[in-house]
Amino acid sequence: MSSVKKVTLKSSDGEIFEVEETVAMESQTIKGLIEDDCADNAIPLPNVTGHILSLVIQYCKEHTSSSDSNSSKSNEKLKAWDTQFINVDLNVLFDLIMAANYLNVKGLLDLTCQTVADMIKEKTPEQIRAMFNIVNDFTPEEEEEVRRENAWAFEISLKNNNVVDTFEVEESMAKELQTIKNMIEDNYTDSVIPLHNVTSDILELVIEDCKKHVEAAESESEPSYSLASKLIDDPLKA
Amino acid sequence: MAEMKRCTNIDRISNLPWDVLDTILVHIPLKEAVRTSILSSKWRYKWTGLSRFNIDDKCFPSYLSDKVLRWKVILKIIHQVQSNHGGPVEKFRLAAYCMPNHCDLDQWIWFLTDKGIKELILKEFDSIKRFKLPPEVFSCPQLSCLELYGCIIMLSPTFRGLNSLISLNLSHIYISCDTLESLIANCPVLERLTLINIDHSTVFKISNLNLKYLKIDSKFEDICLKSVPLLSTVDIRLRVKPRHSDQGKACNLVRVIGCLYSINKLILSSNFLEFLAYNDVPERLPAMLNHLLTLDLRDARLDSSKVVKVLLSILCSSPSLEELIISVSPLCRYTFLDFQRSECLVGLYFNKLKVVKIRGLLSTNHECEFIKFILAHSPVLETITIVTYGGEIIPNSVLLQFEPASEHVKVISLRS
Repeated sequence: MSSVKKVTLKSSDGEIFEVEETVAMESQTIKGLIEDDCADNAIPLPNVTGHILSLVIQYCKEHTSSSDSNSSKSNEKLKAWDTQFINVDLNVLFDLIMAANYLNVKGLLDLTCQTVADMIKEKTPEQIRAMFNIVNDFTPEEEEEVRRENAWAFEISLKNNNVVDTFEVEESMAKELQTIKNMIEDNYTDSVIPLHNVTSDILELVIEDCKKHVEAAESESEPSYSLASKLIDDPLKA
Repeated sequence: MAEMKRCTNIDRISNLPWDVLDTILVHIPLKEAVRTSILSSKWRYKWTGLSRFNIDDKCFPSYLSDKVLRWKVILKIIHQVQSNHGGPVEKFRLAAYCMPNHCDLDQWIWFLTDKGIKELILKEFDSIKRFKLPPEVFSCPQLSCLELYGCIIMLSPTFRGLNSLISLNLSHIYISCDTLESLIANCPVLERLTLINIDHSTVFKISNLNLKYLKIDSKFEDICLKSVPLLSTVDIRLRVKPRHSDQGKACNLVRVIGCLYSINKLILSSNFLEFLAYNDVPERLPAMLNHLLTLDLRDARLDSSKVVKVLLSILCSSPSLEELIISVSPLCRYTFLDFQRSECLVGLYFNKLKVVKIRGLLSTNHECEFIKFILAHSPVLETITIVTYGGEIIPNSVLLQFEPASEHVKVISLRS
């Protein structure tokens, strides 16, 4: 019986791992080293800790055996395994991303990046900042500038509950209504904000007024402000 | 997915190496990627450096229905990308209802070809066949996937070929016969070719040593498949009644299909079957199609004895056939009228045939003859599904009386 070829990997914190060559070759980086005959002794991996390396090896093992023609593992089972595998602390997730990038394990890089992408999808900027600890270093003027520059991307929708009429308005306009402003700032995750107490024709009027109010504020004309706000408050009391 | 403790104490995302961040951001819709510009000053222009851009109708709010205004938004996007972009652009897809300014579009395509574009998908819905695609596209060394809708294609005299092109999809395009022939022949690694509504090309001449998949859904007068040794799937639908061909010319079935020695899957639809039936259809093709595994006839006018001959001729030439699918055209009032067991059919056995699906039968006696024949000559048949339109379902008891050659055959008879 032929013995299975193995390679030795050494993590940044000195942990030694003995892995089958086929499993190790899931990493294009390691594959290159093996093919260039640089793998006789332990391969040092200074950018990957033992903990993360063990996870990467786990992933590679699972995915090598699945490409084996003898393996009966279905795609669904593999996907389920991946979902379970990637359910980790965010710090570990980032470590895995960096390791997958350094070791060039394409499947793992795609999996980890897709996971982060799913976390970003459909979140408000405030939520994303909170999740990833991003510091907002814009001044209010700069922030306005960016919003205007990319206005089309910052549109959100308002929805009436009874007759499903969706009105899409610029966020700056929607914020004119205190209620909605609060909803936005409370990170209302739904991209459509339902307004239970307002019918669509009233909502239309309100939006029209908001538009005028915003335009008035931009042209710095005082009188329109008070007039508009009177109209805004009434329908919402209904 | 259970929400574990998903917060980091430090910002690990903003400083990720660019190609990693790119891999993350290309997995979210463009609109959301652009919204990351507001996260922090570092993030302001990150989105403009993405390697892939997909601009479609989801980028626009539904109230923005004016196509000129929509183009203005798109122009804004591409100007920002042009001003800030550092690295290569791998993929660009434009499939949005808008009215592109052709000068701007020209310039943008120029920019993309400079950036080593690999996948270009351009769908011009507005002024179909009036936008002339800049010829630079056809000298892009890295272009591997090209999908076009609604433009005019003309090749420059210096056209040498697209050495990396693997997939070509042309729909509602104006292109002359010779240009198309030259384009196809000069893409040495081309594997997939799709031609839809290329109505100005009256004759399709397709010759490519690497081509594996061919789909045509268009009007045409003639088709010539020459030097396509690797062609494995052919899917052809002819959208117009074929013109009467001169007598004395070779049979179209033999000329077009008979030379496809490596073919695995044949999908032949409606008028194309009548086209193939022109001039005397032989009982069997000159050479066997030893690798044909699936034969799929769609919208088949099996009320024409010539079309039935085409079917039988292919069946007699396909010893490896595993799957037979027939959808009868709803225009037929009867089918298989002249089905008789010719010399050729008597000794013919489908030794590999496992699955048969026939849809659109009318429960006539002649059909029963055909089904009886199939059952009796298919020793390893696993399932046969018959769907009749109107009329009676052929009861399973009757079907089983037909003495199927296969012991374990499962007969499914349905009415639609």
